[in-house]
Amino acid sequence: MTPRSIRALAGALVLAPLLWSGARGAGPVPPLGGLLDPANGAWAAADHAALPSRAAARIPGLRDAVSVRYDDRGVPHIFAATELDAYRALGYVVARDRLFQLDLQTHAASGRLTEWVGARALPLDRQTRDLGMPRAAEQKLAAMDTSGMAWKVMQAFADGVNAYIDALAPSEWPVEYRLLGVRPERWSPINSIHLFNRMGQTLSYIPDEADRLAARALVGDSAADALFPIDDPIQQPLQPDGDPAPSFDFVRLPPPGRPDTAAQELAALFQSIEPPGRASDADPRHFASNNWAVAPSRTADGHALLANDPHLGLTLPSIWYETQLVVPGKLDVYGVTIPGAPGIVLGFNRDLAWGFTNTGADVVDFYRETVNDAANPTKYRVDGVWKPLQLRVEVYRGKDGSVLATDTVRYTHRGPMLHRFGAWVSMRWTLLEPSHEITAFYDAAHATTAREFLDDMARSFFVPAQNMIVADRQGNIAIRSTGHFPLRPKGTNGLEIFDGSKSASDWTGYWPVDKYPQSFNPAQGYLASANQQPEAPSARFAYLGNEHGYDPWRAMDINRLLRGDGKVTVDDMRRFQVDPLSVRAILFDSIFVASGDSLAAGSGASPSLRSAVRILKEWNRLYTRDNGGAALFEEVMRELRNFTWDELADADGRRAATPSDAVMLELLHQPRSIWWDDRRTRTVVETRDAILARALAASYDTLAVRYGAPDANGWAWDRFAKVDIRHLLGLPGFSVLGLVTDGGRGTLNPAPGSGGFGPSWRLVVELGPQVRAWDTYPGGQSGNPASPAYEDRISQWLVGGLSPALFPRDSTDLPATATRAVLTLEPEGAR
Amino acid sequence: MSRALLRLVLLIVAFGLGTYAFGWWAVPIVALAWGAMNGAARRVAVRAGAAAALAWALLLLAPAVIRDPVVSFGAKLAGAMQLPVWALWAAELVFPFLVAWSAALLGSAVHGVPPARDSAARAQ
Repeated sequence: MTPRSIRALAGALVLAPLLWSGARGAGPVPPLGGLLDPANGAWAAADHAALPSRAAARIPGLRDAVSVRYDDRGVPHIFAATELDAYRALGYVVARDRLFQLDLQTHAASGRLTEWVGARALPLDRQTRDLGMPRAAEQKLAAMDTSGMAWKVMQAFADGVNAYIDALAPSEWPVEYRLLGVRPERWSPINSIHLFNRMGQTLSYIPDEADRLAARALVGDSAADALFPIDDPIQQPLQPDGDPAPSFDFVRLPPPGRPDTAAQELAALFQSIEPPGRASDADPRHFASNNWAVAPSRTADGHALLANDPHLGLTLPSIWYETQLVVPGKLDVYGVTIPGAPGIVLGFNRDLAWGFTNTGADVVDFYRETVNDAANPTKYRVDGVWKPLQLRVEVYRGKDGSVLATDTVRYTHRGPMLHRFGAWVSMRWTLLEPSHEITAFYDAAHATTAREFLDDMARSFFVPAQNMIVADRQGNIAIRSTGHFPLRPKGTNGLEIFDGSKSASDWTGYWPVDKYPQSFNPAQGYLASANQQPEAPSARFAYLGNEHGYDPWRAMDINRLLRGDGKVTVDDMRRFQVDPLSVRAILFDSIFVASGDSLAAGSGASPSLRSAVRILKEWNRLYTRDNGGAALFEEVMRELRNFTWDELADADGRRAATPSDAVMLELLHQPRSIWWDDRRTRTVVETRDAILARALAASYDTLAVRYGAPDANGWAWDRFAKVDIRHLLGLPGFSVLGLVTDGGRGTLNPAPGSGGFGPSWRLVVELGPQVRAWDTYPGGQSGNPASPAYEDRISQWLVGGLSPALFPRDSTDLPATATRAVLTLEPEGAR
Repeated sequence: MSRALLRLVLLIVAFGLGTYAFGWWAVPIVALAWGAMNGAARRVAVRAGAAAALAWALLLLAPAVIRDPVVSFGAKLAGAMQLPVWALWAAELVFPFLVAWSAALLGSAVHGVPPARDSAARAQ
């Protein structure tokens, strides 16, 4: 070979793989050229970090010019001449700040993540499609009235998003596209429905049958039903029952019985129905939210007040995007939207304010079907008649469009049918049925009274059921758990697997609205919801849900704060949202200390037990970051569960189901119950105090081994309760991790040890002559990690601060000093 | 300014402008052309690689002088890619260097005249 040919060969051998990896990437590595290109690649995100102070763009279909003024917190105030123009502008500004989030959510909600990341997303996509979510979105879209406002609003929003996407140069694509090696996809109106479906899945797909079945399989029906009851043993309903204090409806827990063999089979079936990833996030109490409203009679300024903080997974960018829509004489609404939702989801207008918490209703049921062919069924039998199954072929594609997998999903008249352990189980879920949430939000934004708001919502909002609280300027406060609540066959509830071969197993309808848990202007002068059981058992119309979906602690906390004699101020409302005192801790710790005192005084008491009792005795039951008692208390709770619920361990020694803390409290009031006996110690029958002594000492020892001595702030709460706000793709560089804040399990400002959940938005509104509001959320308006507005609100959120929400009536009403940028949107043909 | 230095500066500008206007594909194309036109020149490939790396460094650093996000964003970007920051900056230099070097090498081989001086220098 000549030197020339050697050079040519060497050059080609090095260049070829470089060009390949530059253009196509290799394995998980994205295309390097587009990523590293300093002018047009990932770095270009830094060029677009700040909004230009003045910008203009055109949107097809726009009727008149729209002025968008971004305030100093990055909130776009949209001033339009028509409502549809306002929604077009909303689509544009949301895409401008959150394009990747829009796109990612759509891919996730429609089961198309494989098109971005390949086969590793197949399990997630399969879950989405097996649950029938994309099909449901298509059916909801097909059922929409194309002459109705909701349809037009969806189209207008899509026009706005697409106008932004179409005008984007590749160098302006959000950085995540570079990292994944994909490109933005144009927005379809159905994506808004996908988005609502995904939110609905998060908040309403709570297959709560599993725990009770697992317990029945181990300790029999009677004991299991007591450990996993329908009604919460502690009642502080959102629909006031005349007694502002909580009631403790404790009953004697029946002893463990003989295992239920039928339940054993069903429990195995259910474990497999649990969606992937559910196990770690299984506790629906993570999705805990607070809202409350105070009537003018109980406020310092004589105006109604409202607060809301929905607790969801914390992400960057945030699930929420703050904005205002103004159309003179027609619409003036401020609040947060979920990027992709064409409207304000939570917020206020000139007359009223509203907020949501999750109802936790049981809206999913399962049916064991009889099919004509166990391997490849085409029919299922109901009342002796074979009915055809609807088949839908689901095709999963890779990044390059190639087919990765093809599934056939079968549907009965109830919903999708899954094949598990040789059984075919179909599912009925309110999320998969017709609903009109976009109409609901559109109508609600125009409501002028609390009652009008709730009635608008009840007419169109079906899923996920929410405890909707509202206060208006006339001084009315009201709450209603709103959504479709199934009416099941008489004598049944949603905690069983129904016989699919009988039509008598089917739902017979939904609750009438007047039976929903609700209250208007109660005598107590305030209303509060915090995911507790909505109504007292005595007031219940039918089975709504069960204790698995409820959590009494925060409701007790907020009721405790609100039923005080003082007049409530705006600042009180803000302080209440981050109150670190725990009623749960007060109730448990008082028993720990009372029993612990006598145990510690005994001659056989270990130094660890004595130390543990001393710390808990001195603890003020606050979950503040430097507090040394909270960590020990939570460890005692954990050990107590371990030592107490040994009867619920399966053959492998793993606890198959864990009763709630409310049931644990119920048991603590039964010191000689057989449930205290630890069956692993065969020669001794333990009592409550023996188990408590063991838990206290073990907790002290565990913490001492892991964290050293408790003095010198070694057990400070901030070592345990970290908050992680992860980027949507989980990329560490774009996440903010290990944050420290006050709050813990069961407090109004929960900061669970797992870290990823918490108050995703905080709002306080005063309904005076002029509506005034204060808010924040853990993130920032921009989805661009290079932007200061990507995470600029986190520090405020961590300390429980709020910022005033500017609520201008027109574009001249926003002070120039508070205007960060101006965007003018014009019709396509305008000069 | 010597002629060689001027040619190097022009090459850097070509890589910079090309990348800015047409994206990273400008690097192999400019380098290939450079190699083909200057196949006889000394260390044609190494010069091309160095010029490309320098051009990309300037494209990155020039905005950093004016505004901060490039530097702070570099740390975030490296974190997102699970790389140490230095590795990202190194990749920003090594990638254009290798692309330009190999493309120029290939280009120089296409050039009609054997790069005698280059070969002679290496032989010594």
